Parts: sequence; structure tokens; C-alpha cells
Amino acid sequence: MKLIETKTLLSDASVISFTSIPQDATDLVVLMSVRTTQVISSWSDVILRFNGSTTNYSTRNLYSDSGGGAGPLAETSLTMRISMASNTANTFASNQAYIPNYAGSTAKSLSIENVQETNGATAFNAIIAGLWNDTSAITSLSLTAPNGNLVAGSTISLYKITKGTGGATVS
Amino acid sequence: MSYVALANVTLGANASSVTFSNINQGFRDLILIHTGSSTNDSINSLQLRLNGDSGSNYPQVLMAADGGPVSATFTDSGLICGYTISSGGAMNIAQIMDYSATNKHKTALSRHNAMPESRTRAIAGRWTNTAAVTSITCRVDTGASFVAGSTFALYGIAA
Repeated sequence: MKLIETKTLLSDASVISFTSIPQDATDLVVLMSVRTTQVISSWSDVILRFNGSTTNYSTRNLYSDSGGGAGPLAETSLTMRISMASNTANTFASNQAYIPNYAGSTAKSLSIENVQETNGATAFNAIIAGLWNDTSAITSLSLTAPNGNLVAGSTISLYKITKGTGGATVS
Repeated sequence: MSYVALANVTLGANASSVTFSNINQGFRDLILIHTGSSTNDSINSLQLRLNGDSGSNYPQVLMAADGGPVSATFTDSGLICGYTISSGGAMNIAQIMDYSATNKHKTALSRHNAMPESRTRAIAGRWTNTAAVTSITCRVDTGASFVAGSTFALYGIAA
């Protein structure tokens, strides 16, 4: 696994983007340490998008929150619930997205682990199955805060993984 | 952690199994990434058999969002990693920890995603054998075949 790029916000911003993603590998891994400026009672949303597209996404989540909520959730965007200004100070959410065959010509499935970090009563965590039903190669991606901004210090690291060759018996 | 590519195959035709043999014993963990679908219209599971063991030697526990929250414990004849649905778009990630050790049973954590069927799962499993893992056979638990275009990639994680 090789690092493509890490971006850390020096000031609050609504979006972090990666463009011109190299097409010379097999899978992508996106590691996110993020927090927003939003002030509400539960959690804040961030949305992952590919190639600037806002359509053709779907997810199936299995989530729980320490306030007693739990269950499946189906959505039409790659939304993660994260820490925000009304959560424990200096605490950022941790998320990971694994995207296999990102440069291929099939629809893009991905696996997401999502955790909101806070000492409060409604810390959210989820495993998420995602699909971007688009056959385009992923050449850019962005993480957007639809409410408020991502705070300074929010960091995203983008990695690439390259498959090997051979070594398997098919029958 | 760094993924070291060990082996990879993209099926050029339908196949009933994919086997990784003579696995390099020089790493700490193994990661298997699968994408694709199966030939059976019903929901099938990607099953991993270690060192060819087809006995009921794989106790597991799962949590799933398959229309409603589900949890279950079960024993199978292989590590169940999730579905290989016929409508495509499934992906599975399995991590086998300390695979080369010879003094412990082998544990695995798997994540499964199948959005065409709106399903996601997390599964913890154990192979009740202290032997080092030298081969992994990927198969569909119902005996169906993997569809052409399915991919299987094996990586080693260094200690």
C-alpha cells in the first residue's frame, strides 16, 4: 500500500478534494480523521463523492449509537456520521473506505467503517456497504460537509494498492 | 500497514473455485479481496477453506443488515465471508491474522458488501487448527460457480 497524498486542513473548509488520482493501481484506501463546525445534538454528516458526481449512489448501513439506537439504514449517498463542534473537544471521527478496482470499467463497490468519536450519549458507529453505479474510472474524490465546515486539522490520506500477478489455481 | 501483493486472478471464464497454494509464510496477516458474482440466482456465500479442510471446523459469529439487523453464531465447513450474489457488485474483504503461527487457531475478520441486494455484514471466524495456513480455496458454498470477471487478490501484511 502506497501513499498517494495526504491533505490536512489549515483552516475550516467545506470540502477536501483529491484530483488526478493515478490510474496505475488496483484498489484505493481512504483514511479520514475529520470533524465539522456544526452544533447540533447528535452527529454531523460528511459525504464522499467520486468524479464530482452527486448521483447513482446507494448504501446499506448497519449502525448503532450509544443512545440506544441501532439497525439497518439505506441511503442514496455515501454519508458518514462524524464528530462536530458540540462533541468532546479535540476529538475527530475515524473513517476508512476501501474501493477495489477503482480504475476499472465496472460499477464501484466499496466498504466503509465509520465511527463518531465523543464522550457524549449518542456516539455513532457503522459498517457501510456502498455502491457508485457508474462504470467510469475514479479519477477524483471529495469529502464534503453539507452542514457547516470541516474544521482545521481534519485530515484525509489517500493510498493505492497494486495487485500481484498469477499465483492462483482456477478450477 | 503495507499490503504486499502475493497473488491475483481475474476469471476469464466461470469457475467453481480459486485456490492460492504455497502461500508465502513470511508475513503476519493475510488479506483477501474478492469482487464479483456467482451463477446461482439465490444468495450464496463466498467460503474460504484453509489447507483444504472441508470439515465443520470453522465456528463463526456475524452481524448483518439484510433487511433487518441480524446476528448469528454458526459453524460451517469454511470461513464465510459474505455473499456472491448473481446480480453482481459484491465485494468481500477477509483478514486472517497470524496465519503462519503454529501454536494457535487461526482467526479471521471479514467485511461483506453487496449493494445490488442491499446487504452488508461483518463476520468473525476461527479455524480450529494450529497449522500454518499454506493454502486458501475460495468457493461458493452452494456449489455454484464464480462468474467470469470475478477478481481475487491476496496480500501479505508484514509484522
